[in-house]
Amino acid sequence: MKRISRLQILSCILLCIGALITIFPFYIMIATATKNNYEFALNFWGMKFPPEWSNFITAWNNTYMYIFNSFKITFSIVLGVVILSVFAGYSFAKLEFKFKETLYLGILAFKMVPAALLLIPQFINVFRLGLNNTHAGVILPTIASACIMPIILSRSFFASIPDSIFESARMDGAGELTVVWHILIPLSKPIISTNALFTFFGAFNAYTWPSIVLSDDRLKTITIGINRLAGQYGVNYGVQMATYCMVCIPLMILISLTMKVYIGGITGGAVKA
Amino acid sequence: MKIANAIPTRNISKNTKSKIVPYLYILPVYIFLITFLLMPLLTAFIKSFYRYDGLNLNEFIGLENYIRLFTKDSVFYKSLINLFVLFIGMNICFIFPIIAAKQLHCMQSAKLQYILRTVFILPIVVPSVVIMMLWKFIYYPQMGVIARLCSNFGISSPNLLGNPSTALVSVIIIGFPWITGLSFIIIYAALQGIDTSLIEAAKLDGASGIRIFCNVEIPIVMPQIKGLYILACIGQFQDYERFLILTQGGPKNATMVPGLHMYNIAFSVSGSSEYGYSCAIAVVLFIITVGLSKLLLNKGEDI
Repeated sequence: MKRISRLQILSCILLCIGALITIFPFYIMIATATKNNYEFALNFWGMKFPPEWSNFITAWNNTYMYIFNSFKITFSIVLGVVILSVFAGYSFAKLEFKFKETLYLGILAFKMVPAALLLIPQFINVFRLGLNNTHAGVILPTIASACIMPIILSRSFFASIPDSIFESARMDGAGELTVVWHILIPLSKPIISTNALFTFFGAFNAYTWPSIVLSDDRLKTITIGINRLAGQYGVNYGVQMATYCMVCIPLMILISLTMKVYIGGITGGAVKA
Repeated sequence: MKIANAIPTRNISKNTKSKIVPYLYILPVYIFLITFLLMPLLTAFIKSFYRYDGLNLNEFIGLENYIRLFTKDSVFYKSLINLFVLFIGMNICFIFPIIAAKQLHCMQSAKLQYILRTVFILPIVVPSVVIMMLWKFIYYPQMGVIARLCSNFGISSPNLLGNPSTALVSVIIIGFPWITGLSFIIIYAALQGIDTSLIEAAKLDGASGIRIFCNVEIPIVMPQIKGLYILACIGQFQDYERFLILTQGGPKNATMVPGLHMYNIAFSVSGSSEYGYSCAIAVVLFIITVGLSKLLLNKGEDI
């Protein structure tokens, strides 16, 4: 009995060390953001109180445009993916039509296409469509590649809703659009929010694709923006780290509000499939 | 049951005035998929047989791109070797979240368990670009964290990312101790979901903690581990974003991976953009990935 408890203490200590190392880079990020260049050189490890607010002000002035772009792009992608997945999922789950299975398999097949293969030809494609250096050039291809998984998940969720609910609505004379808007969507909030959240994270974090399409500085998203700014600041590490903090804040607020949905989505098989 | 279901649905499709509605609902998806997935896919295969720079040059050259890739391109071979090293690294990294999840699951104190869980999930909040930039800062030659540590102990600071012999290992170490949010949460939740009566039965039979872990818990969470492993493998084969942000493949191609090689050939600042050749690399990468996932999936079913 005593041996087990000693082992437990050891594993506890190891875990705590692991946890400390995990958050260490973020501590460095916040600590450096509170210092100006002079304090950075003198006191590398510590935090400064009160923090150097000018760092955050400079960071905000440099990034608010990028943050705005990021949100514009991300919300458009989430909206597109949710609309596509609701309608397609409903069609596949609850409506009867010819070639239903074939059409569904057609969508599934695209899941096999790896993102790395598409990068260059997608760029050629977007260039041909004239979407190069526009936000639409980021939004539309991302919707296409991000909507497959939500369609599959929505379909299986919608299939579990009893038919009788939809039938009674139709008996009362509701059209298909009314059925979707007033019955399907209220009933499927869990799956819609999971899809929206995962799409949001993926789209907000995207780096390579936006960096290829958006060459105009005013159109860039925050993920590309910070990489560019990091070079521009040179040795002003305080501002640089304050910028990183700035980028984390929106996601931090979002995830603290939606932690339950997020964890539920991960463990509920959103990733397994 | 089946018939009972079938009759009302048939009535509905007659009642709803058109049979077009379902197709209308699917049409947008297909427009998107065809324009932005099928078209580029076809472009990739077709252009891999062309010498194509996106502007004027567009001539059919048959298999020349592929022949060049396999016979003349030493960078490509270097990147495959790097990929193999990264694959081994990934396997080591993969064990950590499992052990951490198990240890956390066994922990007695509920409060500490909650705090640690939150800490390990925290990195999800931070965009991956920021994590890369932070680690780049940690590795900075003179100002960075490791350089500071070294100077405290009086050792000359190493340039870990700038040295060809240490660069690749340094990139693998990023994220240490690799208890990343996603796989950690999935395995942790799976362990929490195990029926406690199973564990108690094993304890009654006299099984030790380690035996319970190996013979009861691991087999139960195996589906999750398998799924995560396949995801990790495929992700590793396609990943080049972190190399793009951190090292651009250098120094001396020490951190070159196939995906980045493809990217560099298409978008390199100095050279001409050889889209055709980079499409050929993409196709080869695609075949490797599909083959690998087929192999892994088949093997996964055997276990």
